[in-house]
Amino acid sequence: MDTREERKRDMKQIFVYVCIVTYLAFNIGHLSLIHAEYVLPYPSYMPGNKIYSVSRIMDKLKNYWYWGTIAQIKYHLSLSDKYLVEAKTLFEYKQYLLATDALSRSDAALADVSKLLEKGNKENKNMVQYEELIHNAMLVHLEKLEGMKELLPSEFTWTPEKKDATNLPIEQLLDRSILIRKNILIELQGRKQLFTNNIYL
Amino acid sequence: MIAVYIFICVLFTFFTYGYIDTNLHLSQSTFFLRLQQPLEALVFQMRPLATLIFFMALSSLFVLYEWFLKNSEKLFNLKKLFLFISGIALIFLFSFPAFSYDIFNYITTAKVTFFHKENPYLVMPVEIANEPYLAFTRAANKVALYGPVWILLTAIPHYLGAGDIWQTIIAFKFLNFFTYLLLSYLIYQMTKSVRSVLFFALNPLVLIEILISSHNDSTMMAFLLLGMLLWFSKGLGKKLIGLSAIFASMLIKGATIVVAPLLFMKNISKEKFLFYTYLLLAFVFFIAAPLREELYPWYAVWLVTIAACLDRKKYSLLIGFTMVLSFALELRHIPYMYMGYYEGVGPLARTLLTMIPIAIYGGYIGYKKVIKKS
Repeated sequence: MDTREERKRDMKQIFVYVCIVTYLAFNIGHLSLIHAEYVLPYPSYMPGNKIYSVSRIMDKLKNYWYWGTIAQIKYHLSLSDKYLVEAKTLFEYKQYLLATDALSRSDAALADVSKLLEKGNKENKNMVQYEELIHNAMLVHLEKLEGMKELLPSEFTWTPEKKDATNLPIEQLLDRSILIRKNILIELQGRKQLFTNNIYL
Repeated sequence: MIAVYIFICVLFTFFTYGYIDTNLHLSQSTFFLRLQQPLEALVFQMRPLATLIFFMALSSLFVLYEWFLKNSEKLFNLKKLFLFISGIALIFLFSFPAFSYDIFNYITTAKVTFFHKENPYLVMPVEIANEPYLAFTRAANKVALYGPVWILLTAIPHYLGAGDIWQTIIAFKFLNFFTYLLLSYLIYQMTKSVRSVLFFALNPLVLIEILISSHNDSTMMAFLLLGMLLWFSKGLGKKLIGLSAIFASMLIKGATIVVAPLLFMKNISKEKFLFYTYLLLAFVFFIAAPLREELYPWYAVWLVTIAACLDRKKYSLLIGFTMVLSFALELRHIPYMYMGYYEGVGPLARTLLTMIPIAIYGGYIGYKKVIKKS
């Protein structure tokens, strides 16, 4: 037979657990997936933060979680957005070396986007909404890049202590980033043309 | 009586075909369409009559359920019992999942995963805009709602379905057919009582929500019960397998996560484990789940399963309550059947239909106690 105390202890444990379940019930499953017009994310962890290197590793690991063509598009686009925001913030704080690195990572993340759209079409998935999404994203990217170009010096020589100086062709790098995004927009336009001409159908 | 019961089950199976979604074309066969069209007319154009048929079938199944429970030991030995419930499950295997759209959500999510090869936790079915199954899938604007073990299990019916929707529905229903029989077997292993197996297997809520509507709660509970059975066996190996099965159950639907703290309780008996499991699942069922969404009838499968394993004499009140609850919850289908929409007076009607039988049961128990005292 159980003693009263044992029962009391069991009930106490259950009560604590019930409280945790209530809390979780209110919080899990209420995540919203609503998208308004294209908005870039807030800046994430910046270089220098202890968690920054962890977040970079997480970014790489996420590549495995985001399997599937559509998920890969989401992954690459969100990564490009994240690094673009990181570059912008670092430029604003005159951390030019780090900023240019983030910018090139943002560009690199866009490298496969067009191929992924094509792959999606080959898999008979209707990719129109993703074409629109990327189109809107590229317009926002271009707006930010043009803004940065106006405010930043065209070149900068980064001279760290006890190390060799690095010449940073900021304007050239920004132009390259702009070109990458404009090329994507041109490709999207071509795709739209093909679509309306029923070549895909 | 057994023949009457089988007859009602067969009629009920036919009746479910009236509820086929208008966007879903199961077959082009003229024979099938000739059979289905009058049923569709009954369900969608003669709603009061269809509701009455449902209510009568439900009530008959409950009356006969009570009769089977009373005469269980006289009617069945173990072999006959499993033959009988396998037969009933086989009849309902070919019913249409009439009273819920969840199975179509499972089917479409499985298609997103295994056909479109997209991560279902990141890509919603609705994001594949040209997916034809969207025409009859509800909640397509949500990423996968269930755990990875469930997603992996759905690969079996998905591939067995071979791209044909009717074949896929039957394959998904077959998974439930299997878990239903497995649960019945596990309950027998747990209790060694024919009556306990019947308490679960012939409960009309279980028949409707598991064998007809094919909710995945039976899979979650089968893993939980298997885990519990092994957890209380001797030997570390069995205990570890049991623990893995309980963990797998949590990774099917998540509700059974509430059982986790019981695993850390030292020297807890099987009986107490089952009783606390009932209480914890009842908490999720009555409080946590309705706060998030609604009191769904099929969640009561958790309680019916555990109640079936409890000692009949010691927990007679709880078992009686579970029976009344399962009847009350099945009445929740009635407002939609009658009106054709969920809103309006629907929520109030559903609450009343659930509360009234429970209140009557509570009153009856109270009255019995007063009589006993006096």
